[in-house]
Amino acid sequence: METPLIQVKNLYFSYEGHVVLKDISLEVKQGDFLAIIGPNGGGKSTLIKCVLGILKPLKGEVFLWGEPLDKFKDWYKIGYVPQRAGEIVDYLNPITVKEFLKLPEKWYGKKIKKELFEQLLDKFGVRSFLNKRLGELSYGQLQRAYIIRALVLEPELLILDEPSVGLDFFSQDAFYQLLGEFYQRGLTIVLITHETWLLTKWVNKVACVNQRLFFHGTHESFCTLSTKKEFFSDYHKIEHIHW
Amino acid sequence: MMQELFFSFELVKYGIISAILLGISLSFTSPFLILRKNSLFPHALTHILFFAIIVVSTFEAKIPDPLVYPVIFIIAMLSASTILLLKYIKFYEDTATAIITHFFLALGLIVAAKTSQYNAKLLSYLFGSVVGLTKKDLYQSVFLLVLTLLLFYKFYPLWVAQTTDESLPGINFKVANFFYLFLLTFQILVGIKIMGILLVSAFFVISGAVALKFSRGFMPTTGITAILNTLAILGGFIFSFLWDLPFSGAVVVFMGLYLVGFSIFRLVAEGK
Repeated sequence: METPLIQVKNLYFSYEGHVVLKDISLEVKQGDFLAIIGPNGGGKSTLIKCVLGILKPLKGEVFLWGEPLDKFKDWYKIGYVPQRAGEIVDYLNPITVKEFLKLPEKWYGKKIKKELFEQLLDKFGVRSFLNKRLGELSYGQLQRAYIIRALVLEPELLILDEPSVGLDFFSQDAFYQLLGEFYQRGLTIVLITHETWLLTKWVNKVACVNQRLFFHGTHESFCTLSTKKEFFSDYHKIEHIHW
Repeated sequence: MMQELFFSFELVKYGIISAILLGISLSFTSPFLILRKNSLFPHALTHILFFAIIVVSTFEAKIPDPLVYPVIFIIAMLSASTILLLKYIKFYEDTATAIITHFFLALGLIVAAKTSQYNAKLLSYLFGSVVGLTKKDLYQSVFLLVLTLLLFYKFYPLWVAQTTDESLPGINFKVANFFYLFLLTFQILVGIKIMGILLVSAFFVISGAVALKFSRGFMPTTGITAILNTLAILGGFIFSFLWDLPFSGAVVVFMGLYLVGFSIFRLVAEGK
């Protein structure tokens, strides 16, 4: 049987006494394009942070490539773009985009392939500001830099937490086209998003998280659900999602 | 005049060379503090070290000479951990820093008053003394620079990561942050002798802030900070010689000229 890249078993997380995640179990297999959707504050980002070992769950287990989280060593296999990634960058930050993109090499001890690096620069249109300081970039440019940085070590799994926030419509469209291209080349993708209408072309799995896991299945089965509102009893903006 | 200057230099050469080595060493740590909006942290550390020095000097006669610095260091590191307590009860970083600064200054003054250390020695802690430095202090600065380079080489990718990411999968920042704190404490301990408790933290901010304004890339920032620190030490020495000023004050005033120069440069550039 194929080992899932991510396996979450009965995960609970609480913050300052408030339950954020309750009994979450899910799997991500190779070739999945999983969209995690749910209301703001529903625990989507927290779930991902627990999966990546950034937050420690109250209860439950996480396995990456079949290994328990604390034993997992091959972190270069995962590319991660956090939510509102560029916000932490100060306008004085002198690191050039080129330096920034090469940092994963030092963090994870794996060489970046020159050809891939060049390809990514062209695909994401970053070459024109490669020697600029991070502090000089616009939010959209920074966002692109974070996405390339997540891809430079040729990960098998890409996790993106609302990556298109702050991008204009055309940039969003181009970004999702590119994402689809990487998916077709064999990259497994987990995407936290509110923009489900943009993803129907590529997404093959959906997980609905609002403290609990309300739904986890194929995109088709999600689309055929007749009573979607019951999955988000307190998700009052449910009508705005285009199924 | 030049002859007198060289004669003065001969008197303070260990102090000046130690200060230059310290300035170079600081250029590897200070930009991170500014980028993490933590510029006041060394100021808090100096006050913690003030308390530690006063406590240790109370029992100095009972502590074997080679252990004096390690004991000061341990007391300072333990005291610095109170910042974690303040963070735990969710104070803002700058609020925690301010509380620590005042608290340890108060403790240090109380211990100094109660142990009859309210004297000239206290003044030398507060304002530094470049004249009193010896060959031993110079070796200490060389050791500090070597240690800084080693720790920078080892932890640079993780220190720099914290200017662009709050957290990263599979990366534990705790060890890197511990060694960063360790290095800062050591740098301040060495710096206190030269610049004094009240002014050593200026070294962590002014040159680094100016360098960050116009350098491109992290290593150039470090290089420019090192050059600005070195110029400030030499300039401060000349100022203090010419106008009979305290060395530490003269160095910081010289650094102030960078800010004036930078402001004029900006005004001229924007005027175009």
